[in-house]
Amino acid sequence: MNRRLESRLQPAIEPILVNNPVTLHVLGICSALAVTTSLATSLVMSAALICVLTLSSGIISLIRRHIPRSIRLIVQITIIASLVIVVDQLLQAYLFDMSKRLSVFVGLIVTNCIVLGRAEAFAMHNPPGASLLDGLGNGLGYAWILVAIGTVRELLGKGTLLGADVLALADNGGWFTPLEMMTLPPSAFFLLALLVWGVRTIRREQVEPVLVDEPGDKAAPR
Amino acid sequence: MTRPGRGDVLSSLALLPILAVRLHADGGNGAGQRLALFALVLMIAHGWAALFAYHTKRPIGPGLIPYALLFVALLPGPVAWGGAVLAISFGSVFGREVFGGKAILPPALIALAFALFSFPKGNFEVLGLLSQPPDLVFALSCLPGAALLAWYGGLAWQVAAGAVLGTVAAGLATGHPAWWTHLWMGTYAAGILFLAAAPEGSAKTQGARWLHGAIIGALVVLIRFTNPEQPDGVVFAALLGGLFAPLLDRIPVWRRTRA
Repeated sequence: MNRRLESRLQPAIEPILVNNPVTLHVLGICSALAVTTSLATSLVMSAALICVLTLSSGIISLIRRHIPRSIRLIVQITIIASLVIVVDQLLQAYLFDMSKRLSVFVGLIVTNCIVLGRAEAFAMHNPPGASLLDGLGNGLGYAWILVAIGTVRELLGKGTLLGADVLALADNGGWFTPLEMMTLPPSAFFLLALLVWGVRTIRREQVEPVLVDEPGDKAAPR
Repeated sequence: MTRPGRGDVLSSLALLPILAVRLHADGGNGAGQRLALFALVLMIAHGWAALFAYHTKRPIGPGLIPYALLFVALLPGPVAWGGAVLAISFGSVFGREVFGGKAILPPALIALAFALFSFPKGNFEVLGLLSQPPDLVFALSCLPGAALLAWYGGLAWQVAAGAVLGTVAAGLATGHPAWWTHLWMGTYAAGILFLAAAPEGSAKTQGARWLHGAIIGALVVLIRFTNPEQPDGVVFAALLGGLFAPLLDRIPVWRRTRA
């Protein structure tokens, strides 16, 4: 890849691992915990968020010079909410069962901090092309976390992937006993914690400084 | 292997009677399996501890043998090995090592909670355990060990006493016939004495310990009556109650600052 293209694509590539919205900024956790009980819901939720985030960043960036500073949050939220409604309606029209399973969480993309965060931090100060890429990159960064957690939870919790049997269940004469814990919300916390831990072990610079030194704790945690 | 400290030896001694009762109840084949599981679980717990010790360049913390003993002794029914390995690993990593050896709750409690939530029925026949006759023997076998630990300071007896009061109060309040059997049914005695009243998880101030115990004791009754998925409920109650401990410790601070 030549250097010019690389610097053009920078906003899309960086948020995937280096500047990931979930593992570094710990945003969008609510839906990451709620919809990851199966791989299918994780995939649809990811797609919905990528659509909303990419389009909202692009649109907000297009009109960024015309948005009065004092009401910019209202304008941003209006645009985001409109897009979310469109996505939600599309899901209800063409994937009704899936929209039932996702319940309120597609609608709650409005309140997803990643979307408003990117609008405020990036799209308001950058041209539409870069903003589109930034939205796409952050959406992908969110998506791979959801898909990873959703895969582990569905595989270990039910022994299936996308509804198809993968591991032979003990109930049907196989060897695998599903971990019912994985279908419960706390498991998403633990998996996310392990993931953040893993990413920060590889990329040490993401580790936050220790704010309070405990007395007698000589070797400060990394 | 690191040399076990004095606390480890005493805690292990205290837990031997309940393990013996479990092994006797298991019968020949089951007892062998449980002992083999103990060896495996101890190796895994030690493996995690060694791995973390190597990475953080700190010595391996104490308490591994009591941890494995408690987990194996309290694990109900026939056991799926893979599940037990996962549970002990979870308890080791999330209950012990990530906090640098300073546990906020006893690691055995975390491991057992993981096991009971992952396999609510099937491999862990808690229901069968509840109706078994050796319940009273099992409960009585906890007492000598608990006395030893309380004398040595390895057990917050106020929590245990508070728990009994809480169970009695909740039992009377529900008006359920023969509610007093809850005081020795299932893993009540062992869970309250060795998990809930373990010093690392219990409240630190005297008054808070009584309250902490009472919450757990009342929760046991509540969970047993209302949640068919958790017929034993002691581990769940100890887990929930343990989360209140730091808050309860704030009460004396508030009272002093207000006065």
